[in-house]
Amino acid sequence: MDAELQQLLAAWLGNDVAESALNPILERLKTDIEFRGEFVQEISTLGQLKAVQSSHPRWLELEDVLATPIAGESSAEELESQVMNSIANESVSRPIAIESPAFSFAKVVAGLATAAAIVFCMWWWNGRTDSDGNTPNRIVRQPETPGSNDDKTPRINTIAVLSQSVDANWDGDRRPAPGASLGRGDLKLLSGTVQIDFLSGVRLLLRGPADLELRAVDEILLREGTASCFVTEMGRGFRIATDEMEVIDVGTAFSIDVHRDSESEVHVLEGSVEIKSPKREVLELKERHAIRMSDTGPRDVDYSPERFPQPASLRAKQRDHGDKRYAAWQNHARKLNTDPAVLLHYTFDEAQDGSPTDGPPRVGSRRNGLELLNHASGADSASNGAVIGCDWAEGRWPSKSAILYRNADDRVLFQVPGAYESLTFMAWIRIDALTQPITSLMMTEAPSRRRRFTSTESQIARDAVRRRSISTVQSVRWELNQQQSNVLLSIGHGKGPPRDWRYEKFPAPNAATNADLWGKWMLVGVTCDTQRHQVVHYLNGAEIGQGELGSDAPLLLDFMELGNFGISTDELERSAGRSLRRFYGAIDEVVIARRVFTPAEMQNTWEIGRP
Amino acid sequence: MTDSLETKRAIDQVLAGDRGAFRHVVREHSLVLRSYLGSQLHHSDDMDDLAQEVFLKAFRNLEKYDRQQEFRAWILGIARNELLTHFRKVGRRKANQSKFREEVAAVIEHDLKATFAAQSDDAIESLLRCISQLPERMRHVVRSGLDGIKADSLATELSTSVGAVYNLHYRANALLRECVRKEID
Repeated sequence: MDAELQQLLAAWLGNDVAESALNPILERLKTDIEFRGEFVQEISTLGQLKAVQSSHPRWLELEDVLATPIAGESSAEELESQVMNSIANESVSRPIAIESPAFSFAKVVAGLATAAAIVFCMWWWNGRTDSDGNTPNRIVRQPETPGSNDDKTPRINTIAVLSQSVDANWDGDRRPAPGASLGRGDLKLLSGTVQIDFLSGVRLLLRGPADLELRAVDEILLREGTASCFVTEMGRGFRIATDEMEVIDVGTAFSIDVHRDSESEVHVLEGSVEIKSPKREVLELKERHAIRMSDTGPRDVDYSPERFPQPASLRAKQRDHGDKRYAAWQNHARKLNTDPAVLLHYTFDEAQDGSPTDGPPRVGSRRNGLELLNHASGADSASNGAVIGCDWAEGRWPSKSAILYRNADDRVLFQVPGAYESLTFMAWIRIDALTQPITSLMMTEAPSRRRRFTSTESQIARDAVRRRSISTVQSVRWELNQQQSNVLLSIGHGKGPPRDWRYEKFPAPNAATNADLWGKWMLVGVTCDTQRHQVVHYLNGAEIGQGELGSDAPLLLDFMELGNFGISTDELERSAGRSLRRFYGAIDEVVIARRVFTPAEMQNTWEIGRP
Repeated sequence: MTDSLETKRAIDQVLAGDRGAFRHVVREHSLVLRSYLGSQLHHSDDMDDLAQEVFLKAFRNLEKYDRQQEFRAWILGIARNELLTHFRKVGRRKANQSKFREEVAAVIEHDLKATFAAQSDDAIESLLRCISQLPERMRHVVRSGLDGIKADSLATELSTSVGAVYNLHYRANALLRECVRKEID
């Protein structure tokens, strides 16, 4: 390393360097391009490290990578929230260009009239129409569902997050799922192991049966349970109170075992703890030592850390748990494939060459994950899907694959030829964000559009056109609407060009549009029975809404897209991006069946398939 | 690097009165902006405080933003001004150091902005994976640097010279850049 570069970096990093030594270096920096380039490269790398190490959850990831705790910094998400809060509180008007600052009475009157008109229109719009101006069919019922987007839900003051959970069986009112924010209050874990990350920079692994009260970011009361506590520098001073004592961290890791009918034990894995008990002096317990607290005071016991939950054991349990659930789902998926009503079943459970993971490699591989295999028995290879742009990622379980949507043009193209009186759409999806007002789950594509990609001479294309020539039904769309917080099934009717089609719309409130649920796997489903004129929406196995079909015309599918909408670049540019429908997240199972799945089947699919 | 469609759309929405859309701008540019600020500031707290100020300034002045210009370049320009103000504030207490930093910053301004204007989030994020591939001693030096531990303290801890610590960090950074290049390729 160049000695002058070293001196320059030392000075830049705040170390004392003689001014006389710096002057020639500064001159060289001005004239020596290579020297300047090296310096810029060094400080750029340092800046990137600084930024990336302090963004949550990478902060924790880096702790793992470096195998040592790091004091926390405000995360990228916190920064975003701070900025947005500041903007919300800004007293200045929005940065909208104002034509003229001159006051005009006429303008004020016109402005008030416009505002009143806008308020009226918004009320009318929200109550009567959707963004395309079509009247949605009435939602007959909007039952409450777990995790639904309920404005009345009180916001809790988060002091911790439940970051992991294996076989957790809760008792009492609070039954948090992984990812849930935790405020102050009691938790009763009947069995299983959970990991709780406190905002003070403390990680608690807790094994049931356990009964505890979360008191603050740096304190819990443990009435019963076995726990290991890992404390970062920032979290120093974390306190676990029991009926007999208080254990205060002054090091980095300790375990504690509290039973109602026997004496409590404390084992120090690393660093040291202070133990306070009534009428006794404070005891400092060093690492690799353990005590049992009795009525007569603490006494030494064998140090035995293996009795306590550890990160490695939690990870192993998670793997086992995931493998078992994955195997159960594979059995369920194989049975589903034999259902003669199932037209299409993409499991994404194939290696990237397309070979099923539970069978021998297929002859004529699927060409590097380009082609999706339709696993429905008797399915024609024409119903295999073409993966366009999507990447492959981990699915609901570590051993299972999913496709990841990141780019604006990512999609899966496929075809389901035919006209159907009854249909079920079902998909396991993980929404990572809703990046625009309307997001496509699954949509049909007009044969005229698909002709841009496929031969106009194909039999499927000719049949699709013929079917549409004798039906009023032209399209079927299954979408998420961010602004109105719902899921929507739309059926387009018409004879002329797409702009003249009339849409029957069936919305239902959907928690998937709530950002709190982003990043979690969920099962979405919709059934449509044209003869009974009924549409039913499902989320995670539970019904979330119904609608009444006006027409009994069979639904036409033919050319379809998963997670996008076949808009051209020109159309996208003309609409300034507003017509973008891209899905942003992951999908790891899709089912289309020519019958209506019952509520019990939906519930069963959720129970077996949930991660 | 050309601005994404998402940034362009978010700016349109903010200008049309949808303040909430600015969230997309923050999301898309925060990592590079914080990295740029972090390259010139010692403390991560300062880096995040200043990043917030930059975003607020960008929001307040969005109507002045020339759409012909890359948004990232524009926001890095705001960051540069905020840094100068910051250096001057700090300079009241440490005049010599501040003068030196201002002079160096002026010389490297163009090169540094060009580096970050072309930087991708993927490259920055891949640093995390690359750190895990460093030899133990290098990881320790990188980690200590992030913790703000001075080179002389680290040299004592590692029973080596200050120069050796700088060399180790320099080699670690070179390995990280090489690893990032491979990941991105």
